[in-house]
Amino acid sequence: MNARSQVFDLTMEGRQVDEAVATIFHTVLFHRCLGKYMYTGDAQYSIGTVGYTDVDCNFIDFTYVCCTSDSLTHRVKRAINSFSEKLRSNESCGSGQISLEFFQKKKNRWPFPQESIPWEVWTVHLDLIKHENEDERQLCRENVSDLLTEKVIYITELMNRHDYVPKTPSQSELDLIFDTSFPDVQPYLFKFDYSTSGSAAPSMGNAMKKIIKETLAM
Amino acid sequence: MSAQRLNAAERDLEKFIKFLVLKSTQVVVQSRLGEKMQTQCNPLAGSDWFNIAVQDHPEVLDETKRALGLKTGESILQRLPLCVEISLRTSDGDQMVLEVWSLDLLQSGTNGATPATGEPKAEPATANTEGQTLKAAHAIYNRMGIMLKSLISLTRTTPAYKLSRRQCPDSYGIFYRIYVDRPQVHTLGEGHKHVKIGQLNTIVGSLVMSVAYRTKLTISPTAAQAESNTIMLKSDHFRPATDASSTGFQQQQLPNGTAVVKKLALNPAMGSGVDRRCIDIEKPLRPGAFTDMGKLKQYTEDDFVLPETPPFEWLLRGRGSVESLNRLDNNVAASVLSANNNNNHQVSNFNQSSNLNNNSTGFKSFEKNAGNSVSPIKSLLIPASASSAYRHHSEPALQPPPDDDNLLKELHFPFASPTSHVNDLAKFYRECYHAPPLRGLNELQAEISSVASVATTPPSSTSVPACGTTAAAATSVATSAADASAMDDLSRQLEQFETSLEDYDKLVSQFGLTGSSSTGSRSSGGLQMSN
Repeated sequence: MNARSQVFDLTMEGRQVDEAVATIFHTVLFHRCLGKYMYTGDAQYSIGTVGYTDVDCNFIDFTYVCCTSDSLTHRVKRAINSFSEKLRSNESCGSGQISLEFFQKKKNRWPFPQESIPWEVWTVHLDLIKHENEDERQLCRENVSDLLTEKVIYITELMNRHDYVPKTPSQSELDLIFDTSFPDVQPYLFKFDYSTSGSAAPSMGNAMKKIIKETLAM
Repeated sequence: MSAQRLNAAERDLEKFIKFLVLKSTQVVVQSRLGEKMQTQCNPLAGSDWFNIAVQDHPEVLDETKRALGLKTGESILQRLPLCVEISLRTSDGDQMVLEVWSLDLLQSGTNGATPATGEPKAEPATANTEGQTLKAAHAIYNRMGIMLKSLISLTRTTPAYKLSRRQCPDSYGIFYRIYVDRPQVHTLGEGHKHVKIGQLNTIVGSLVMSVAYRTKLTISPTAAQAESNTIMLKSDHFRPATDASSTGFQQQQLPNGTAVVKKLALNPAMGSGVDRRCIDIEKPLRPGAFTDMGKLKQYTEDDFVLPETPPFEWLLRGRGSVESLNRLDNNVAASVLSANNNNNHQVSNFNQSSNLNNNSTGFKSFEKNAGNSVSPIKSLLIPASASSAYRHHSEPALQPPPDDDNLLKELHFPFASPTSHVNDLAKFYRECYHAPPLRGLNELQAEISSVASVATTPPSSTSVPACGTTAAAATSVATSAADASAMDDLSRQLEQFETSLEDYDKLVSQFGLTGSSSTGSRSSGGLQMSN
């Protein structure tokens, strides 16, 4: 199985990074979140409802939608924050990437650890720029907003393709597909990965290497 | 047996589609209410359709049902495509259709030729190639859920979303209309964008959700007119014949005819202001700092009134004064400016009353040059000439000049900040403009009225509210003899200005010292600047 991979290249100011990445990841996660499964029998379950929230960006002229889940929002925020801080720090050369990876677990026989198999990876590659004056900044603010519009349209287009998503398993194996740690929503298992190595070829960042390694390992 | 099962599956599907339609209209309309939305997750009860918490607005629900016009036993499949049209209406009554969200069912397979005469032309081809036909009810249900999520995400990205968030009763409101017909994309203007949100292949055909939205957000009067027509007239009745005949959806036009444009609820707390892009063209061009104001003449309605005299006649008459004016510019522009202001408006304790006559004609020639003048200072003097022109026409001279809007417009310095010195000067001038008439004016009056009587045009009441341009037009009817004397007057007066420069300076310094009168004290800023 090959993981689908999408890479978004964005160029913006440092302070816009958090919101731009959040826009993309939350849009993806909103589509990849289901309602909580409540089992009434082994094969019978009811699915909860997913609420949504509009979020206005401060540094970009944009509003995105995310699941109404504090715990999910918090987790996304924490990952993006640590990435953006590293990206904007003095050691950084102003370029880096963060990826949202959906995976499923596979149980192995006892001595071997559990395996994680990614099936979809969303990568945002970022280059930071600095603006000389306020006019440029304003222009960029609009540009970034247009860019994000384009990306959100692209994401929805991909989401509505009939691509592979893991099948809903029985109750005992639910944890292998879904992240059941959230009280209100049930996203597919996901994790974040980031690197800010500007020197390495960005297309072969850590996340990508891992994908290939894991694909080969199969 | 299998036919029965197929029938049951179809009925399920119809139900799904119906609720997808109902939820979609809710999502679209609610997103244009101008407020941030938040719906809560509910992990326990799974009563919401597609497992997404979309609240139902009763009004929108009614509107959708009315547009669908479903009778019992009637299939919703016959009532598609369903469209939600979002439009903007300004407080002035201009209208603009912003976007059309549509849910359509394309017949796949055998009779694929009949549909898709409208926008989504490429759909039947892709319908067959893209993806497999879904049969399992839960798979279709999940897909519809994803489609609805995409719709929620996308409603926040189109330009209309930003507009709706900024709507306010003073500037514009956002309206919606739900109708059953092919999306009327021709109302979206040139260069509108079409985005396919999702496509779902089912056994009854492929369900396509899409949006077409306007990219040019400027209201031009003619365009607004045309668009308002398409809304106000029940558009289906007057739709182009080609559209109606080619689609073959005549039977579906009835509900469309009853569709009404609904006003979205307004949020009074929303910030004011029309979208910037929306009013860009309306804005006047702003000159930059240090721009030659003479070249940036403000056009008023009066400029469009053509004088009844041969065009450019004033140019010929004004020629004589150009030389002396230029000289004036080079040498003493600043000091003359200050002197002129004082001279024209203060009681003539300094100048002879005969000088006044010269002054008035002198200013007139200033005005004639205004069109191609070179110094920004001159624009200040233009209104003075207008006022002096009044005095040539007997009776208006005695009554205080009317509060001339045009005059104030001329005195508006686009580049000047409210605190700048130039503004002070303008304020000072404005105050002086309303100063009581001069004592010597009566004498002057008699002299002028004799000249005016030679003129063919009687001082009609229409010329009274005239500003610079119409006044000039009126004076241009004067005989050539009067012109010749005016030119003489001008050159004499200019000479006098130059010779009595020192006296002017003295007067200015006097004002600076005494400054007891109300205008004097207020205008200190302006005087300082001109010194």
